[in-house]
Amino acid sequence: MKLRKSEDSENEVELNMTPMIDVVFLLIIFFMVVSELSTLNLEEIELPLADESEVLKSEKLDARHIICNVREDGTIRIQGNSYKKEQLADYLKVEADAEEREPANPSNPAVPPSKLYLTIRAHKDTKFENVQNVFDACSQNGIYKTRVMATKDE
Amino acid sequence: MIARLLRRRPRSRSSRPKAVEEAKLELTPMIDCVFLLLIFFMCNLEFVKQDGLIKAFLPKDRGQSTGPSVTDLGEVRVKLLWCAPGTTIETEDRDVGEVVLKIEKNVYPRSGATPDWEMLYLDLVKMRDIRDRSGNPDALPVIIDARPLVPHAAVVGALNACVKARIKDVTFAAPERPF
Repeated sequence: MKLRKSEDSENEVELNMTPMIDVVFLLIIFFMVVSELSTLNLEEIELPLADESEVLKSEKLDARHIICNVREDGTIRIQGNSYKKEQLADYLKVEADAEEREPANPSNPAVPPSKLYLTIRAHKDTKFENVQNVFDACSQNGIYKTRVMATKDE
Repeated sequence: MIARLLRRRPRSRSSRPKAVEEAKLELTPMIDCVFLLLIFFMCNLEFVKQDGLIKAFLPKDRGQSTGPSVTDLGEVRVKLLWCAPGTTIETEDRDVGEVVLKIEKNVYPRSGATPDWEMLYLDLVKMRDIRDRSGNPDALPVIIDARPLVPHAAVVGALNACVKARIKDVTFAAPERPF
């Protein structure tokens, strides 16, 4: 009996927590990075109300899209960077050129339509001219697949 | 790895004098905190609300040309003006103005800071029906012509009414450019 007791204390069952803690830390880092990235694209902006707006789920995964945030003061922000009107046109030109274009229309052969999607997230009280600047930069570069983001309910 | 270092212990316990207390790091509170953090970040991801989208495609075949509009015939122009309160006189002052809604030649029956989108919707449905009955195969073109000072929410309100009325051809008027 005595011998058995000493054996038991030697072979004490210990749960090795190290791999679990490693994995948990990795998960935390992953979620932190992902939440950081999602806030880069979707800034905190009070969107206008539109009950007919819909969540587009069947979006083609291969289609590239840009989210353009327009703040109340008119600042245009994409991926955490601010752009002025002229800079935005240049940026969109680079992005549109990097993407495949559709065949050019005879009425506007200089700028073939781009396959790029652009979503505008504008503050509800911003002046429409700020949004118009974005539309303008899009039409200059053949980006016609534009969408406006809105909230469905208050 | 940190945990591995912290948990390292001498291999033979018997060589130690019994009087010396073994230093042990209590891992339980740390694991508790770590799990709480994990749950927080996981839930935080769920909180990101999926906002709705309204398609507002720009005309594919029109660039920056200043030529005549393709949709001159039979188009409906929804005008959003920025006017002095209680009037239909346009103002350049952002602070004192309000949105006034007009539809091509007709002064809209109700104007003011909150235009009646429900009435706009009903009007658009009526106009679309007239167009459908006329035998014209093309969709009724609606142009949203908003003044630069009008808040974005009003433009989205008009766009929403168009989508609700199943208007397929919605475009935005080009900004006014100085000559």
